[in-house]
Amino acid sequence: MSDVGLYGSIYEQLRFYADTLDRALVALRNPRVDLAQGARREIATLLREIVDKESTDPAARLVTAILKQGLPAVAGQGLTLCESLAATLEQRPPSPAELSQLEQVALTLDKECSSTLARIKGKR
Amino acid sequence: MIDSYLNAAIRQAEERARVLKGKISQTLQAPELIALHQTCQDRIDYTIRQLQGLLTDPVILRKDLVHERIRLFRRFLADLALLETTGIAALTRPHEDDIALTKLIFQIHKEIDYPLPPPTVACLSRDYFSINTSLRLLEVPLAESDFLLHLPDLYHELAHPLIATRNNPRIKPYQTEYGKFLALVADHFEQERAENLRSTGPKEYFAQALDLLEYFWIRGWANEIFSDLFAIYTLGQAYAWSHFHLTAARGVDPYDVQISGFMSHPPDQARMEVMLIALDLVGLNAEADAVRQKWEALIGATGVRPTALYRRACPRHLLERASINALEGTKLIACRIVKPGISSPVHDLLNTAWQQFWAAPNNYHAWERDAIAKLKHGAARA
Repeated sequence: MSDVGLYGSIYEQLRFYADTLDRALVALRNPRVDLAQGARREIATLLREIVDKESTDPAARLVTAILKQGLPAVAGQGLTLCESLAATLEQRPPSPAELSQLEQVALTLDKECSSTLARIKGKR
Repeated sequence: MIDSYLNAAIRQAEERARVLKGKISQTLQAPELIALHQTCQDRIDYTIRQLQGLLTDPVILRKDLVHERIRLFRRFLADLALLETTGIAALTRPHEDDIALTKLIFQIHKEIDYPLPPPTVACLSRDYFSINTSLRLLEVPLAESDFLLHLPDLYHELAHPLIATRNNPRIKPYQTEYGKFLALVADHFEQERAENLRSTGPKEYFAQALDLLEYFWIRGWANEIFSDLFAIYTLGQAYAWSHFHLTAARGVDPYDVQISGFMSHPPDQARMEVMLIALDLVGLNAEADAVRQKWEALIGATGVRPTALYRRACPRHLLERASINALEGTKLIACRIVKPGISSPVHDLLNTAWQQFWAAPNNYHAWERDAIAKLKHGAARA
C-alpha cells in the first residue's frame, strides 16, 4: 500500500476516536442530566479502552501509541492522565480543570488527524 | 465575531456538498459502480446533516464549545475534500480499465472467500496501489491494468479493510489476532526499554529510538506486514515476486531504518523475511527457496548490508509471530489458504505470469499482452 493509503486508513481510525470524544465533550455540557451522564460514561469507557494494556482492539492500540507520543508534550503526564480522568468520570462530573485536561486529549487527537490528513494530501 | 464567520463557512461547505452530489447524479456507466455511488451519496447526505447540526444544535452553539465546533467542522470539510478527490473523481471519470479491474477483484473475492464486499477499482492513483477503506475504493496507477506482475498487490490491499472495518463479527477473529500481535510488539519494546536501562551504552539515544520503533510498528508497520502476509496466504509466491520487483525498482536500502522522521512502511528486507516464513508455513517450501535465492542475489547486487539497527527494529521472533498470528486470523475468517497444487483462475494467472517471466524473460512481454487481452475480453463479456 502506498503512503496515501496507509495514512488514509490511520486517519479513519483516529477520526473515529477524535469524533467520539468531541461529541461526548459536547454532550457532557448538555443541560439534560441523562445525556450528560451518558456522555460521561462514554468518555470514561473510551479512556479505559485506550489505557488497557491487554486490549486487542487495533484502533485502540493505535490511539494509545499516538497519545503516548503526543500527550507528554501537552500535558506532562502521558497516559497516566487518561487513566486518572477515566477514574474521575466514573465517579463524578469533571471539574473545570479536568474538563480542560479532557480538552487536551481531544486536541492531541485532532492534531494527529490534521497532520495525517496533510500527509494524505502530500504536504509532508 | 468568529461565530458569524463559522456560520458562513459551514453554509458554504453545505453548498459544496450539494454541488458534489449533483456531479454524481447521472446514469451510471456500469453496475460495478453502484456500490461506490451509493456510498458517496450516503456520505454526502450524512455530512450535510452533520453540518446542519453545527448550525442549529443549541448546545454546540454555546460559546464554551467553540473548540469542539471548529474541530468537528474541520473534519467534515476534510471528509468532503477526500470524497471529492477519490470516490467522486472515480465516478465522474469512469474508464473501461476501472471496470475490468473491478471485475477481477470480484473474481478474487469469490476465489479466496473474502468476507467483506469487494471494493471498486479506479485507475487514478498518483502513487502506488492504495485503498480507501471507508469508501471501499482501491486505487491503482493508470497503466496497471495492462500489466500482470504487480497485480498481486491487489491481495495486499484487500487485507487493509479487514483491519479497518469496525463492528463486523465475521472479521473480528482476524482483528483479534492482529490485536494480539500489537500487544506482543508493545511487550517486546517494554522489555527492550527495561534492558536498555540496565545497559552501559548511550541510554537516552536508545530509549528514544525504542519509543519510535514501537510507534512505527503500531502505527503502520504491523498493518503492512499483516497485509503482506494475507496476500501470501491467499495468493502465494506471486506476491513475494511482486515485492521483489518493487524493491528492485526503488532505490531504497531494504535494511534502512530511519528514526529521524516517521517511517510509514517497514524495511523491505523485513517484509521479504515474513513472506518467506509464510510460504514455508503453508508448505510452499520450494517456491520460498526460489524467491530466497533471487532475493539474496538482488541484495548482493545492490551491495547493501544489514545494519545493527535493522535487527533491533525488526527482530526475527516478531516477524515469526506476525506470520503465525496472520495465518491464524486468515484461517479463522475462513479465507482460502494457498497450498501446493491449489488451482483457480486468477491465482493461476498471476502465479503463471511470474513463472513465465523467469522461464522466458525475452518472450514474456508477448505472453503478457496476450494474457491481458484475454482477461479484458473476458471481463467485457461478463
